[in-house]
Amino acid sequence: MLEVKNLEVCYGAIQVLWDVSLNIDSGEVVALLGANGAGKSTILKSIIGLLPTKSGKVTFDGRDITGLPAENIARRGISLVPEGRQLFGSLSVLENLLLGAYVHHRKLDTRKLAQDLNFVYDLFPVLKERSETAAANLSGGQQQMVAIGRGLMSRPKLLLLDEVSLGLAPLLIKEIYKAVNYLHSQGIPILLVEQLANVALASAQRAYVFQSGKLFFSGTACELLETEKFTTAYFGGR
Amino acid sequence: MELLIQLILGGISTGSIYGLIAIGYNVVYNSSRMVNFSQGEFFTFGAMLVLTFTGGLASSAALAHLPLPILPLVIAILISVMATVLLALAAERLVFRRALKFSPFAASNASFGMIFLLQGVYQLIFGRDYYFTSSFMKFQVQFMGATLASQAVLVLLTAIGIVLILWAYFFRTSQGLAMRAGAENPDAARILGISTTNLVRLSFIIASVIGALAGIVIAPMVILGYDSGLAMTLKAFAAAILGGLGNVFGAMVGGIVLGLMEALAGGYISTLYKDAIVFSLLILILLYRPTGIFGKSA
Repeated sequence: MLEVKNLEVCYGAIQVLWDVSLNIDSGEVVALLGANGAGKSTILKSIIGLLPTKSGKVTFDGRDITGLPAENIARRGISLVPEGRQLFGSLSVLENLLLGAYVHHRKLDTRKLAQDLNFVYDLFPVLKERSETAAANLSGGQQQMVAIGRGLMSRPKLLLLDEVSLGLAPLLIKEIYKAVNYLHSQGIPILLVEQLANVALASAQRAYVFQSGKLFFSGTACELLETEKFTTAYFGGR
Repeated sequence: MELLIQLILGGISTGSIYGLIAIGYNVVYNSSRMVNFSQGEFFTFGAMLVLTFTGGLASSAALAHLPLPILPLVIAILISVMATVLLALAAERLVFRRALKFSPFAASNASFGMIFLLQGVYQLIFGRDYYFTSSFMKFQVQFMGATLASQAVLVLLTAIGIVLILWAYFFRTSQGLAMRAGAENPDAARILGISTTNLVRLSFIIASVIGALAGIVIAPMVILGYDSGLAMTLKAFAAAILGGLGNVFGAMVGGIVLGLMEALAGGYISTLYKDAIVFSLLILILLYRPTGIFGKSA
């Protein structure tokens, strides 16, 4: 449903991605792995339209979305949970979540909205208790839950998760990935960027591994996990 | 005592106009990070158009030669506000949106140019005469021995009304929520489907409606001419800084504080030096609170 072909991206004069091609089918969880600076987040930002592409093509649901502004891509059903959460800190948890549903605000159906809110609250019950708290006053783990919840409120056709485990304690990472597995079971396709290869490969069916802006290896999660040497070399065997 | 109350009431009503224009500054600043120094020109345009449509323009003005019908005040106000919105939308589309592609700083500079461009146009169409216009209604309100003129009452009611409507817009509508989100984190807003270009356009609509209404309602209390906006631009900018740049409702407080300082300095010290006194006080306040009364500490 999402296909990236020969994508190349520059930050100013410096090229950071070379000839990246990847795809994700409906119902799949796919991981983008690699060390810091390998270009994984850049790929997500280019897909969602926050970064201009130098060349290449991104198609979503059979339509070319290359170079469209981010707000248009979001309206087509791709939802990004960005690196560093990017919450609206002064706004309440509830307001952050409601903004996630903004793409539907013209045809706002209160019943559906309540249903979606309950879906998020069931996924992360602590958010219901703290719904009136300003997002900036939550703990890191709770903020990550708000970010994921906000990303879900648009009923996305494709969810992009950027480093959702970053800076979280192992127990919280477990909880976040439990939610990821649940979303997968609900049939939401997920493309996730992750530094912790083992954590990601436990949830993903396939993975692409990047090194210095180039695709290095791709295969099923099992194939990758079996390549012991490979995991040790690139992710420091955990 | 009566003098004090008289001065306080006068200060609050003038200050609320500074506050309204300052709100316009902040709404635009929040959506775009530009400071629109031509905000005061919306004020002039609204007020001069009402004068035109109510038949008050001197015969030397170009617009006076058009066969314009003389309209009832309420209709004249409605049409003038709408025309001001169109002017603001044109300025946004033709100048500020392009300048914002480079930087908010470029757009702020362009807005300075816009002041003189618009004043030139105003001279051409409204002429170079200055006007004392009459109050909308004739009544007076007595308050603790002080007298409040009808127009000052209307100014206060307008300010209160606009603040309440804005509050409801920002805190009770999904578009207002999007405005607040965009002000805080534009990129995060965009990935949620919120067009920041749209937010800038909306903010210009809001700022021009407020600016025009402020100009229209204060017109009978000031000397009105093609260049009346500039003084407002400066005072309201001071009010916006005093309230904390970006703090929409803080701007109203900043405006009223400024209006009060001005009235008291004028009443008890000297009308001649009131601006010097007020701006000296302003510098002192900002030395101790550089981000304004309600500004976040940087």
